[in-house]
Amino acid sequence: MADDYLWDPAAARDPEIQRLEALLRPAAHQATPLRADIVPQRRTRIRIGTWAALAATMVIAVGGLFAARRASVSPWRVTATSGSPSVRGAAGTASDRTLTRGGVVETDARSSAVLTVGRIGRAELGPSSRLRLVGADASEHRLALERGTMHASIDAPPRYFLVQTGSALAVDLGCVYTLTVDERGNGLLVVEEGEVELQLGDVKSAVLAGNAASLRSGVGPGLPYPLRASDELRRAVASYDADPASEPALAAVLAASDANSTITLWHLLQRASPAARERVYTKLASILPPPTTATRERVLRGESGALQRWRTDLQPSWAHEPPLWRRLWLAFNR
Amino acid sequence: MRVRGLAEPTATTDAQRPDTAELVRAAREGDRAAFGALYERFARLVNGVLLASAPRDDVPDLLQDVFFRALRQLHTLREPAAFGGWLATMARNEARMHHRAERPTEALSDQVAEPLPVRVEDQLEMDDVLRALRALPERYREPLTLRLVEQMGGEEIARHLGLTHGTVRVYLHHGIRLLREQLGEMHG
Repeated sequence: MADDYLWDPAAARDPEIQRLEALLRPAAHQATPLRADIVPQRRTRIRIGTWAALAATMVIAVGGLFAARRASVSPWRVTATSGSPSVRGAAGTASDRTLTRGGVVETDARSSAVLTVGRIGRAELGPSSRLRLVGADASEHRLALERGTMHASIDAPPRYFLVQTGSALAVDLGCVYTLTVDERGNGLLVVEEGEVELQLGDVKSAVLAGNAASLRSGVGPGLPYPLRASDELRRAVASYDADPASEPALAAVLAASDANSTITLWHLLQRASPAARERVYTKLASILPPPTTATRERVLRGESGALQRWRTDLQPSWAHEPPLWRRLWLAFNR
Repeated sequence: MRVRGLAEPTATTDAQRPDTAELVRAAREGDRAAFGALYERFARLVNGVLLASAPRDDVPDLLQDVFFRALRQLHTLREPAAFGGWLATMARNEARMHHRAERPTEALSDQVAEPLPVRVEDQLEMDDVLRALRALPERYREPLTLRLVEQMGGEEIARHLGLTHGTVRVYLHHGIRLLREQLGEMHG
């Protein structure tokens, strides 16, 4: 009898199951509206003008505050946040607190500093770090992080701010990120907002907000992976980055990947050997098949257009931008 | 295709209701009312799937997150008729990510309806039952949660989860037996 009622709520009732139903009723879905940012409410149309005016006022006020703050900043100025960081010119002579072309700012184990990156943002330098200004002109601002940790917060056109390391070039596509490297160029890139492209020759990694990628001396950029990835996937990616020819490492990445880590699989598709590429394709296509214009053959041949079209479909799930309050805070601190 | 807004309740028969694929196509073309209709149709499913894996206090926010994500990714859905299964997968992933991130509990939005009045003892007992449900093996957890919390029938559960009637019958049968055992152990 209980099974009949369990299958069909219109069947003869079972008191025990009915008691459970009554107990759990408050947990059932209640008819609540979707959030306003998901489905716009028509009835609020009249108030939209008011909100727009308020928003415009806020934007002007905050923008003015930002502009005043930005105007008060001296470009390439180094400010100690702890200890006594050193600033030297290209010839190695001690400099005042302004970094010049070829000059170096260096922190020891007990010091840290903030560098204003021209007029486009700032770079916080952690302890035991060394940062060189390679060049700054109208076409690009280029730094070299020779060792240590740099947290960059940049507001500039894409590909305007570049950071060299011993193993890859970090190209800013408008963002906030933290880059850590040792003297050989081994390290980690963590992107908090926007996107950074890591490059070494033809090998590129698109690292979007909420993702990370390692840098390996002599190998270049590693596979990007979500910061929320499982430990299993992180370990598998680290093994693959250390030895991209390793069959067990490739198998481990495939086994640990899921719908939340298509950024990893899409990059793996381009780096896997032709023999292994089909397995990566099968795994990725089982999560989200490529668009009809990106045929299996074209993808397996590594045709850029086909891969990019598939990326367009996959990418909405890649970025995990910080909440609005955090983005405003980051913008204010640039 | 246009469907009526959320604020305009309709008295339509099943035959008059636009099918899910039609609603998905309309929502893809920017018809937010169609998306609202999908929400009305599938919110119980998502609520049940989330409750099977996530703490109850977090479910209202997660539910909104699932639909928000679904709206943004609707263009990636290849087969509009498979919307329910796609959404359930999204809800499972959301619950999994939430569990992994171990976010602190946040206050509910003021748009969430007033909770039903519940006696403290009933609240505690309900929490025990929900915990016991979440502790069940995965295959029993969702069908039983949808049955006991959302009070769906077996056929509806089978349709939403893409399972056969026979499988759902077996899962409900074994699930309720295990739930009884779990509750028996909890209450000594």
